[in-house]
Amino acid sequence: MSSPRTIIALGLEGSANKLGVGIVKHTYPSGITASELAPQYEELANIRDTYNPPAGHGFQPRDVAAHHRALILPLLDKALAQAKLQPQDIDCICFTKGPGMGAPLQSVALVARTLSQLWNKPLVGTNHCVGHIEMGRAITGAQNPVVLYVSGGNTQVIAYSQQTYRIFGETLDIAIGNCLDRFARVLKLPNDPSPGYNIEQYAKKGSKYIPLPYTVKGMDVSFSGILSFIEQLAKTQKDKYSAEDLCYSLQETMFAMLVEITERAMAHINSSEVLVVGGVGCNVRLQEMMGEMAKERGGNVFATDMRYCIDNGIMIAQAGALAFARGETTKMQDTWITQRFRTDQVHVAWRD
Amino acid sequence: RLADIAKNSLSVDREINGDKSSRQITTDGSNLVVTFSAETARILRVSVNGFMDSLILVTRTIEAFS
Repeated sequence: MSSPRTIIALGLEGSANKLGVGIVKHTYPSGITASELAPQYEELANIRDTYNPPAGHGFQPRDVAAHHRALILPLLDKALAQAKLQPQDIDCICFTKGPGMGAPLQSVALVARTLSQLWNKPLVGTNHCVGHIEMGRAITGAQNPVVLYVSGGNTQVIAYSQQTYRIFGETLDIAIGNCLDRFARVLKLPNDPSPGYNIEQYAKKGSKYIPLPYTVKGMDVSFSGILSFIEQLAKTQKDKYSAEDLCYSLQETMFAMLVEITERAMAHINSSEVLVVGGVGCNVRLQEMMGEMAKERGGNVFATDMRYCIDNGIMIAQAGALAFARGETTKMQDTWITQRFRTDQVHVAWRD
Repeated sequence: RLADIAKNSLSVDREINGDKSSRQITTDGSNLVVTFSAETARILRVSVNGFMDSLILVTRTIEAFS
């Protein structure tokens, strides 16, 4: 039996308009063995700041990067203070390598690289999607669920197999969150706290279902057609359809599509558990609809609250620390960031 | 040493307009020496401005934590 081991990981996240700094502590009471043995995890800090442009606008990479550059050092200070740690207590510096927006990712990576040299600590370049998955697993304790990862930038149905998070189905064009965000702009809903949240509130007040295109293609989905269609309705038939009914119909249609492709994956791998991660995973109506489907299959839906489903730093620390425990670090010349980074490119060394 | 740290952090990412502009980063003692070249003045200005934002971030990080 090996001796107990503790890893304290710093996580830096900034792939979209959320800047997150998190610190996690992993304890392996019997040491790190070759087989899958999940550590006890303890959250030491998880701080986030969101950049929101004015209503009717989307966020541009340049402005997001400027936001991240301005706030990352104060957030870092705050996180260390909250965790009551000094730089020398950190074992590894995890940062989002990708996927995401270029300039914002780069500004966070620059800080990570600089800290790594100043503090003489290794870097762990982490995949954003894997961060969401590992945080979801840690918080909910779901054993081997089908994962529905839905956010402004990503829409994927994922299942674990042989040290890879395999993508079973995904969007063929835009992410569901992107569709929601862009529709919110047409309606001029506020972007604070997030456009999707405001659509959800409007949808709760809607009741009339307006038929919209339903675009599931085998294991995959497509959202750009629905977006064009509903934008057209909102712009040309303002008097006929209320914003509340439009939001309601959009959610019902798109969420039903997600339920369908998730169920297909569940049937494929004979699983009854669903884990929903990513910013759109906060949506209560989506959780409800997914829950109904899972119940019919004798299973459960797992979801996390907004501290963890919305982009955050501790999920990067979580995934990074798991990789670090298996000896994975990123050499300085390999710490380049990338806008495209497939979930299935990661070698999941910490699972069987 | 701090100049080397800055150089290492800033050298990793490739220039955005890789085919139309380039930069070289070296150190000279405690000085960071950056040489830019670009096809047009506009591209040069954009490169330098972008780099300055990154450089300022790196120097502020060094100031905060060294």
